[in-house]
Amino acid sequence: MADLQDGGVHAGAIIPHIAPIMRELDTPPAIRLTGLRKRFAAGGTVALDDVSLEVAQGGIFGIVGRSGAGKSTLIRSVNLLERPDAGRVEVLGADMLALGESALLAARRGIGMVFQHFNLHARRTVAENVAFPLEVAGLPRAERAARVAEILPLVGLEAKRDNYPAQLSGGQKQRVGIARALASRPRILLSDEATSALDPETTQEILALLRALRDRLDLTVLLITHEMGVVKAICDQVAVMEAGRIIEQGRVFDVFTRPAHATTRRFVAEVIGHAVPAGTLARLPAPGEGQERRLVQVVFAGPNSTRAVVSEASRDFGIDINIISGRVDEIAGEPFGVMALAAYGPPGRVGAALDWMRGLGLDVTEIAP
Amino acid sequence: MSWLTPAMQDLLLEALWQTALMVGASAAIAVVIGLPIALLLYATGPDGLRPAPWINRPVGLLVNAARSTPFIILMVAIIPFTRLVAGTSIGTTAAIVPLAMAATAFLARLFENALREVDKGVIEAARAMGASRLQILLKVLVPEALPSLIAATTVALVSLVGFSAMAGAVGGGGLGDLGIRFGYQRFMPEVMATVVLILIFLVQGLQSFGDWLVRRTSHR
Repeated sequence: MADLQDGGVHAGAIIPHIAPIMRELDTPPAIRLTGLRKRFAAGGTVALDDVSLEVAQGGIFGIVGRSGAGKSTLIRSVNLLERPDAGRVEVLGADMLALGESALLAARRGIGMVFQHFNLHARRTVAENVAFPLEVAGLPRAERAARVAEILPLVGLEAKRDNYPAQLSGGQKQRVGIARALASRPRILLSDEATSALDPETTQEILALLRALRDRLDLTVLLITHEMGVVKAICDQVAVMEAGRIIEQGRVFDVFTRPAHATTRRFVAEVIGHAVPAGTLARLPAPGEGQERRLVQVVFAGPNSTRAVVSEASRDFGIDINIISGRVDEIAGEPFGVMALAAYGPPGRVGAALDWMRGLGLDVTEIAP
Repeated sequence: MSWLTPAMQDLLLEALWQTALMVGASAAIAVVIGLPIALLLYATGPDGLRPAPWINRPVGLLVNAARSTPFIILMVAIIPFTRLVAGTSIGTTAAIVPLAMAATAFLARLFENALREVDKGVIEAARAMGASRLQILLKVLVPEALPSLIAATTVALVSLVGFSAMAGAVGGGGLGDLGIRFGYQRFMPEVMATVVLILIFLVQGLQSFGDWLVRRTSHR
């Protein structure tokens, strides 16, 4: 592992300009799961059905799914809180399933984890909770105190160090959970529905904190959630799970703008709902004599997403365009817009205009009237 | 108050001391032996840290056997063992042996239940942080369960006060024994009433102290 990180002598060192590329090729994924299977009780439900995924170092990878989809079992397989029946679990290059008892405990210390219900020790103060993993690792008292003093400011809880969890709000409890997870300087952070028990405002705070810490501490984050909003807010990669399988995965922007699977489309619609109510479509005027009407949804993404496409199409193709709905958003830092359009014009010209839009790299799909 | 002669006062004081000794010593022994048994039962139980039915079942059976034997029978049944441990089978010291045994079995179960009440999430978090089973037992389970363990000990202390009244059967003395011998056998209802009153205060005091300690330690 160490020599992989330090690089050793490789092509990148000899030919400087390809160094960044080589580094990317050299860097093993932080987490690589291959062909994981898990079934609870003989003949019981299948929690994991041939699941494979890779989480790149420094990435924030989200796994989204309804409850019972298997995402909880999946994230617990990474630090082997749940042992898969079959498959391979590699974390920072180490084959987790091959580790002996004490090596596994040591490996777990390098993987932080935060939980939906915080799971703090009720009888330990904030500082004592954060010190727990250090205590487990056998650090002397003075070093524990120094590390706690270092990490509490990162989550903004210096003032609460001697409070007990019962005296904290949900958001503060999760900050303690995050501080505790990061106390032993892990490279990887697992987040098990960390914001699901929090109100929307606190959720945004905690997500912002997670992203800031990722940047600052060079972490790799794997999170599971049932809220697509969480994925939209901080993830750069996403996998959608259903019935123990990953049904779709990719860059968050791609999955949001071009969801392939029906379940994914439903998840995406929750946060960037661009479905036009049926009643609204029914009320649209019918095409005039010798005209046709096409109802389309246009997704604006990519280099031409800021172009005045609607007015250009209207002018250049001599058609009328009625904007039924429109919305602009940002996903994983990239601008993204959706519009529902009703285009009226002589047969042929409307189609030509739509083809022109497609040529600009916009995603144009017909909406059933 | 003609019955409360200096001699009777001495008897009452001596009996109170004997009760305190029997209850205190047997409770202390029961906590020291009962907690490890409870941890063993918890750890080897079906959802435990290392399920081991071949340990859990026999130990559980032994604990249940001790719990279901009526105390008065347990007391005489283990006389040979008592003699081995205490060097005698009569007197206050001898009474402590069966009392401690009954209380150990009782506390082992109460402690096991207290450990079971600890939030599973905290245990999972400790596992995720790389804590070993022993660390989970000693650094998570016992500290987190402490208020419940104290409450269980209070219950055991109160029961022991009752059990200790039966210690007269092996010449253990104590308040209960005094009440029976003077109040009942010598027709001195005042003595009986005084003994009962002292016991009520004793139990009340133990319970209040236990409750206070639970509140102080729980941080909820």
